Amino acid sequence: MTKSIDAITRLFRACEPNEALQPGDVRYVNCDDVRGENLVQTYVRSLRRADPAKPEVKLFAGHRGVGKTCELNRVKASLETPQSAENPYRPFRVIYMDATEKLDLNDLDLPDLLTFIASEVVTQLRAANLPGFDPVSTYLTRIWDEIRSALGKEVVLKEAGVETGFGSLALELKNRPNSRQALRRAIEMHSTGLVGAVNDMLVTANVKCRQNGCEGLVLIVDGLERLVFRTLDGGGSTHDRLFIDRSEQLAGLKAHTIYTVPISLFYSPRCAELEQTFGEHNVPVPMIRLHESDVPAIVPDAPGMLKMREMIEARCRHAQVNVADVFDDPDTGRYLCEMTGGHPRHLMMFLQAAMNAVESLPITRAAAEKGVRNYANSLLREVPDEYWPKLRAFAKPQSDMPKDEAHQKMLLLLHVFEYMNGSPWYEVNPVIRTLARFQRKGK
Amino acid sequence: MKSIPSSAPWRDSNAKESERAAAEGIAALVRGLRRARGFTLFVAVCNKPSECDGLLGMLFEAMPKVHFHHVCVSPETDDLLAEVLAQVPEMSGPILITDIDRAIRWDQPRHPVLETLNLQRPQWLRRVTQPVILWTPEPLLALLGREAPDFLDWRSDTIHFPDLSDEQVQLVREIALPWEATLRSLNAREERIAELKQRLAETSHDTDRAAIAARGSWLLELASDSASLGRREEALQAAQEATDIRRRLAQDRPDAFRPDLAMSLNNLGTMLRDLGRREEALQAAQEALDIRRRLAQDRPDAFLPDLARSLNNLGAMLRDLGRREEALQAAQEALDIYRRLAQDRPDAFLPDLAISLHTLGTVLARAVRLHDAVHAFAEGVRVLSPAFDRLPQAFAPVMRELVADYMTHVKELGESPDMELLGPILAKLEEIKEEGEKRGSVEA
Repeated sequence: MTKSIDAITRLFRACEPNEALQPGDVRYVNCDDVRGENLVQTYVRSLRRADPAKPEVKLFAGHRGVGKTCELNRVKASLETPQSAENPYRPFRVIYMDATEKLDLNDLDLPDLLTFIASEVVTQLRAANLPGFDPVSTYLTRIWDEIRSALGKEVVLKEAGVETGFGSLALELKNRPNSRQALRRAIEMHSTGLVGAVNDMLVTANVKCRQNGCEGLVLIVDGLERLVFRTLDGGGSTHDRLFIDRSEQLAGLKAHTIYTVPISLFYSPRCAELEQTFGEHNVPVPMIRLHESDVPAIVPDAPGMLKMREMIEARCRHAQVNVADVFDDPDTGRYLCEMTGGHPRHLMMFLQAAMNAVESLPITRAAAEKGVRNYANSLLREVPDEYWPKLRAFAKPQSDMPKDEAHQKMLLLLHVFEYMNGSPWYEVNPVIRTLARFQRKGK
Repeated sequence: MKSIPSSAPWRDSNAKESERAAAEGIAALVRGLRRARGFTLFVAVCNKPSECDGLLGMLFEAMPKVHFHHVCVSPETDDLLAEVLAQVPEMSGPILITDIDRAIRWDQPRHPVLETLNLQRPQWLRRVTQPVILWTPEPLLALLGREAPDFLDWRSDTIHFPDLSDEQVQLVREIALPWEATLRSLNAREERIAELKQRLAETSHDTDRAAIAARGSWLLELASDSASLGRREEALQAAQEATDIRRRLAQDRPDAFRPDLAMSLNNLGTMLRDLGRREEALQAAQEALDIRRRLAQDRPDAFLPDLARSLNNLGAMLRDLGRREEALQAAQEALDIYRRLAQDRPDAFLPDLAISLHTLGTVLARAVRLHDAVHAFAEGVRVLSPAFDRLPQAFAPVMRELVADYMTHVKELGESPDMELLGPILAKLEEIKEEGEKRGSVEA
């Protein structure tokens, strides 16, 4: 990073909370040992050991900002690592797709997702140029023709050929909320055929990959955890509608597939139905533990606290800033780390907010508190009245989380954090703990 | 010709051979007319005038660009050729001759019209420049064979149409038309078969598990496509190979591959049944059922629907083998499961419940329990109604079967049909038919 810009600006830019780090980024800090669960290794191992004739479908969840995309990038990189003296495994070909870019996550249903997946798989397999493989089969062409004729004359797609048509249709679904229902109906009528045609493509590509020195195909569908949670008129929620009601179709893709899903889904009253399809033991990417469940106090040299400090150091290195110059006192840095509750993105958010309160480094204690207070105030407005008594139960670590909508939302909206050390525990977001309303009794 | 999809559950459970034969008869005539040059004689055997009208209508629809000449033979004629030449002075398309039986005096020992016909054979060849389809009822065919043997000897093909009710004629039309779409789909199916065969050839020596499993899926699809094109032996061979593959995979990992094996066995059973190998078909269906019963014991939520489907199929097979008690038991068990499933998830399972009621109805009808059969058909109609209202096109075929069987058996009982129930449904079915006809004429 260029030094002509002042140190605080360089550090500010190095702490961008919305940037998911790619493997190899100097800012990346491996947190496996303080999360309590090395999910990357678990996912990679299980896919490598999976029966190539029977694809596995896995769910990947975690609190917003906990580092899911970053971890998923690691899964991808690890699966794609070429065979070598150090790595005895054949690489997978990974088709990574980010739903946030091309779908409307305010209102997403299976037809939209299927169309998007079809489009990405065709495009990426075409680009992969596998010897002897054409992603456009007669099956896919037939389904595309059927869907197109079901769309009727009102829908005019810019790209009407099978190769680019699905992408064009996905774009229509995203950009035209008014005609979305009609489009969905047309796709829904052919959803079984569409899944069949996509599977036909995946199975054939998988065989070709394996004939050409690859271990096979893996699909990673990222961004679905951002699907907005909304209660639907007929009952149920947007999450249930896609992930539970349509779980069989989602699990029906014939290639190893990883879907990111909202963490709250594991706490849905209908979680058992989910497990029926996707299998049990779905563990979310846990928060970094700043203390153990049976040791309430956070000590400065706890492994989790040291890991948070390591993250700040890595950002400083990248920004070419001396870490000793960042805070007016080491305690200020520790205070910020403690307030994150082990949430990596919150650390970046607090650092940037604190930097916004000063003209230049160092970050003072007052600035740090200001940064945290900004977030606290937003939480105060955001937490619904009826949640406060429930939240107080999580002042101390709890080993269980009720499976109802209120608690689902508390996890989703980061009011309560999930930690893991062999078994999970749950604790209130430390910033909520600072609020007078939390400390009061009653509502 | 659009074959009846073998995977459609209501078809699996109650294939109507006569409708299939009639649809294939129409296809044969169309092919024959397309290939014929000049005078070629086809004899179409059909006993019922109303059915004959329906079949003619299908021919017109099937060949919209062809100009047909329809010659209704007058009762007074003694010279069929003269009648044809008088009614069709300029021949620009195939000639359909009907009502020749009206010119026969059945109480007379000699039939001049047939004698003349036999003697005039060479003139037909010279003066009739278009293909001819002679429509005749069976008794007249016998007479033609005796009294106009030389003329009949020239025929290119004789196509027998089984006796069909009006509802069945309509169903044949649904199976056989619309032709353009059917031809397109036929071509697409041929292309797909070629594609699948290429993939199978490319992996024929592949020992990789993923490739072996993929071959299983491709073979199963090949079997289904081949069967739908009437290549039953080829279909059977592919289905058998697919089943062998899945049996091997299931031996290695029973939990993962038993569901696939059961599906293969079910398809194999259907194909064996279509080839008339009923005992073997039953054996395959029974094995599929046993697997699904075990699967459903372990994971009822996931496998009860498959178990019910297997029971329904088995019930239909046992019915066709005349094993009524066992058929009844299987059909009843399928129904009980679908009732439970539909209670929890009506949207997903009410149509299956209706299909299961149809199977039970046909089993009861064979057992001459007509009242119970009528009740089952009526309940099927009621159960299917909401889905039919929502998606009439999708559920019309099964609704049509339920209604037809209900009507037939109510008539057999000498009772009146429940028009309060049927009225709106019949109107909707008629509407669908008209829409189809309009679409057919626009496409033509």
